[in-house]
Amino acid sequence: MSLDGSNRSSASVGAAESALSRRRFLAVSAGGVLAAAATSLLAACSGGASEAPSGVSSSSASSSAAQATAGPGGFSGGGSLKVLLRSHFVPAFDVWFDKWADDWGDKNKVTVEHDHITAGDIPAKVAAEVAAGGGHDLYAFTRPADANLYAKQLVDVGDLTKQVGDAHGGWIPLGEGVGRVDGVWRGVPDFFIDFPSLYRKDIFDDLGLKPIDTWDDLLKTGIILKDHNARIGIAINQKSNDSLNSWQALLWSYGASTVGQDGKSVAIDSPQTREALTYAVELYQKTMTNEVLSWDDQGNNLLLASGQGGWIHNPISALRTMEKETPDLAKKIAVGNSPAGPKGRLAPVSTNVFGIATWSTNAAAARAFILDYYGVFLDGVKVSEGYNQPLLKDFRKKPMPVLGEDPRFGALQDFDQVAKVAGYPGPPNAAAGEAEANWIVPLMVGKAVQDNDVNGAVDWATQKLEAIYAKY
Amino acid sequence: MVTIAQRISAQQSYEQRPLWPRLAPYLLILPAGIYVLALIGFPLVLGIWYSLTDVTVARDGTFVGLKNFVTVTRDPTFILAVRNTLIIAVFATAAKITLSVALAFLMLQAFPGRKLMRALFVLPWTVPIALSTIAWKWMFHSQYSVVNWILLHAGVIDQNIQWLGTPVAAMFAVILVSTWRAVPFGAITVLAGLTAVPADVIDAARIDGANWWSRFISVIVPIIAPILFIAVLFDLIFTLTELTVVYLLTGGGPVDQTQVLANYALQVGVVGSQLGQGAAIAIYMLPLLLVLTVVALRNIARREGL
Repeated sequence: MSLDGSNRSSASVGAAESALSRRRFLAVSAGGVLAAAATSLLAACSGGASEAPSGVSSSSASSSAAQATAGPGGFSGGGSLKVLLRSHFVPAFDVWFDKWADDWGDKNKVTVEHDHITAGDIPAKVAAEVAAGGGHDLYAFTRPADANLYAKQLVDVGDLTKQVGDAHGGWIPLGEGVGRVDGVWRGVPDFFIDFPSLYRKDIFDDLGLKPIDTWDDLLKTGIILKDHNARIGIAINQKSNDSLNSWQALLWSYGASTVGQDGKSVAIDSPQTREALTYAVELYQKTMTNEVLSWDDQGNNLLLASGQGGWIHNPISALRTMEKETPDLAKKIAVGNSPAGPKGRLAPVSTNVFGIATWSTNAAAARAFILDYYGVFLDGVKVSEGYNQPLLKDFRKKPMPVLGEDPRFGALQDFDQVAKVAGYPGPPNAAAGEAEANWIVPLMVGKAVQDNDVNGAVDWATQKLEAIYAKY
Repeated sequence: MVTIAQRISAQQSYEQRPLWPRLAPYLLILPAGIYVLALIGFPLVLGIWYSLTDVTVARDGTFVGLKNFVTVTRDPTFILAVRNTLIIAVFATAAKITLSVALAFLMLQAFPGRKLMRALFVLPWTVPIALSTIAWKWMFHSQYSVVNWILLHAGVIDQNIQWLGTPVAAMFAVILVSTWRAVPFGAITVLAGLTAVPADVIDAARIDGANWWSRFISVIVPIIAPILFIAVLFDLIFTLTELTVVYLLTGGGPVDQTQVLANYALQVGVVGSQLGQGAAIAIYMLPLLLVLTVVALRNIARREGL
């Protein structure tokens, strides 16, 4: 167009300066964009770009909350205490905990701040604070390997675990496994979350089906349930702890595992893994729909709550939510065990473990807080409606609170016998934690299902796991 | 000679001015400089340093050279993330710029309720991205998708589409949400350019017999080319570095089929605790971004004859 020639030739000096300014502006803009873009990418690696919901301090009160015990921990130093913990799947627990923490703070002249974020967002939050070298004083870790991963950032709590353990009959092996690192207690075990099955007893009874006992039962029964519009659902997806737990349970009960007993040798490439994956592909194809490939931890809960689900593999929190939101449907739900495989019944569990940060300026308050918390621990179990499974022997004596009072949950009192954590049959070390954090097992199942290629999926998982374990 | 004399004179008068007016510009720009250095410069340098070490979230690292960059190339998920990032960048940027131009032209026209429509068009950009993406996630939900409900009732589909459970649909969903979010900003940028196009130039083209398409291609585009380039550049770079949409909408699923570099860098670096490798994954995009920026700037300079 003529615009190029005539306009340019008649341009004044001022216009030329203006053009130069515009160019500079564009250059600066583009350079700024580049820098900002690069920074946003890099910030992702320093935790800054995490879109994790921010912590929410709560000070809401519950009239039914237990009173804080004053000072058995012997603390009277004042100051402040910042606690990071999960948003509990049973919201009443958060109300109770916050009320108890506030009362404890009032009695001990400590300003207690309790930040609840979703369990899935805690790892990124903790990682960011560790990288920054500061943040909360007390963490309630949600991954079994976290005490191991952050051992250098956690103070030795051996004296505390001994005091608590001695007072309540000692720790069960699962508790020791997640709290002790190379002989030193870095975490104080809080509770574990069992992983049973929930099913529609009314439909099972109508169809003359027996409760699921084994993975083979699940395949046979699942086919019938799908035909009767009551499909089963197990998430096959990253960012889903349910998916991780279910498919690890399958592997372990088939005698397969990601790593050997030494916690170092990658062991995923085995006939047992192939057998389990072949089963998983058949289970997916015959009993589920591709909806499970998009599920997060809510997916299977919503399936059961929609009335279209027949069986799910999930903690009892799904049932507790239904009891409040769809009570009529909840009455039709029964609780079963985690399915057994050729090598037995093994179920991965999530754990809550307290850790006191080395950068805490009020570690004494944190110790006293934890010590007093175990004084009211069983109140918390009751408020959690049996969701919190104790890791102390005295608290597991039958009949246990809640679980021992309702015949539907009776079998869950023995769930510690089948419960295992990340890295099984080895210890829950940092490599095992990284393997879990990268969702290797559910992604392996997903690849087998999506490509219908068991060997390819095993090869992929082997490559990923060997890369992880080679670093430790 | 005259020019040189004027410059010398100006330089002398500048040096004779009191200290404060001479320092004022630097002092005024200092907060911005500190801001840029602290929030952009420092993380950039730290990230580059991390990528050359084996640092994890739990322990300090040692210098390992380019090992992280070599290691991640052997990671099949990284390859997948590169592929997905480029696919999303190409399709989303094309969609964004096309719709931005269309929307800008629409907003330029005079029609009843234009102010209201302009405000509504800008809404996607003003809503916090985390909230809007979660809303989209529910709209694509496996059981309760309102999108499926509408399509089913309109007779377009006869069974639910698993938007986030199948690779192609999930990729489409990511591109759609990313485009939906970015179009208002692109449209405003283009609109700013369009309002600067002299009306008499358009009229002259019209009198010369140029139809709408010819006027757009031969008159309007050359005039607003610098703005368009910046808009494309912004869109492309923002799309290449997209984290939130994938993080919240799909998490990289199903089975890594929507995994992108930014999300994978976060996954490996923070959640997976390998800060060094995560930084290397993030840094991999830098050369491409640099090339894009240089190409765009050179293009703009050439068009302006500078």
